Amino acid sequence: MKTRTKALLAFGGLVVLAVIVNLLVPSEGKNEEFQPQNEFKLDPWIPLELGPFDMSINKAVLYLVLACALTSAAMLYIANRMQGRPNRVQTAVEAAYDLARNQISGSNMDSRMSLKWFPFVGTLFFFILFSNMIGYVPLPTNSEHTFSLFGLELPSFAIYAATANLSIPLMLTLMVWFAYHAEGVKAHGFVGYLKGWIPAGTPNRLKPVLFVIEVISQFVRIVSLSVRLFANILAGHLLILFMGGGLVVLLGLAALGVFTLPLAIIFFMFEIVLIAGLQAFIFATLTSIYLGAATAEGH
Amino acid sequence: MTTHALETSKNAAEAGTGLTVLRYLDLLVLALALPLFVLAGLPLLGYAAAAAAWLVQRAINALATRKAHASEDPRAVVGLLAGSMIGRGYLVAGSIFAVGLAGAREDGLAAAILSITLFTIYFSAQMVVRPFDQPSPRR
Repeated sequence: MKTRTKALLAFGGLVVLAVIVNLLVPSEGKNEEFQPQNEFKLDPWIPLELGPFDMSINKAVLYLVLACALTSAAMLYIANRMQGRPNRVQTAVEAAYDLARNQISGSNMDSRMSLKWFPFVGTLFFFILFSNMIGYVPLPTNSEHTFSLFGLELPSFAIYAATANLSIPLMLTLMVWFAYHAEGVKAHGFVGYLKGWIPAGTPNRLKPVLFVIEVISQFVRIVSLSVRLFANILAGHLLILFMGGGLVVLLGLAALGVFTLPLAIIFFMFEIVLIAGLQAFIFATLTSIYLGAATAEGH
Repeated sequence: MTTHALETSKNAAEAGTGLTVLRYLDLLVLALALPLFVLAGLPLLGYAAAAAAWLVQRAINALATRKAHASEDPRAVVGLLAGSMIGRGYLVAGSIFAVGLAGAREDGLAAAILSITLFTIYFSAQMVVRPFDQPSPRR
């Protein structure tokens, strides 16, 4: 059978299935109760306010703690069992370690800087990777919708990631931003570092304009580095949420689920296999590039 | 046999048992959920539907994975794995939907919660077990 015929048959089957579902459960009209944005709302589980600062424990804090614990536990477990002839897990971790050390740190910084900053860059890479990965495991964290078990009201299962909350990528970005400027000033002196922002050979009358543009670009890095990670993870979660049933509930159209369910599965796999690792890699690589560029001789 | 060799062999055996438990942890939880459903008075129809769908999708997964490993055509491997993944998704979602329609809404809800719990356990365990299943490169 030709591929085209197979595809047409599959599509036809889906249409028939959608019609059957629509006959069984006719459209109920729009659902005003379901608010998809509330899936990302942070309800305080343990309210904790220190003056003007809201330090409440919520699900974002739980995901942060989980990501920290998993990163530390996994690395310590492997480090304590290093063998001359590595087993399969050690081989996989060594490959990731090599990627962080040689591809991310080593290729973007000189050897002295790479040696100094690899622990930070490597930790960023693994922390973001673990944080993104556990973000796709459904956990009982949705305290807005609950289910009852032995009289206890337990939170519903939901997917969420610490990196899908702008505060986390922003704090990581600010650490990177201050660190590379501090390294730049240490390497070239304050004035020398600022002078290095203007390319050599620029005519004097253009220097102020270029300097202003460079100042803006330095601040834009805070936005680009943090929002890239946040937006990618948030968008992935939203796609999975809507395709996995959110759209069906919102529109009150059960038959639509026949078409959106495979998309949810495809997006889920795409996010896990590609986006979770890729975003960690991009964040760590850009960190290395910024650190390397700030201290480079020709800067 | 040296003490080191004995120790290494003991560690490997312990790791092997731990991995086997992890590999089938979802099925263990599925079995343990039955007395919980009975004791808590949760809808047994929901349990039956979720359990049947989960076991069937596990069997389909095992079959598709075995066929994919046996195949040398990358297109066939991708087709088998992706097809089985989407098919298994339809199977579980369809079972929840069907039991919600045939029985009460509570049956559907119970089936949905049990299926998601099993998926969470299975998916988390797979993340740990998977590196052990990769063929080790020759050194």
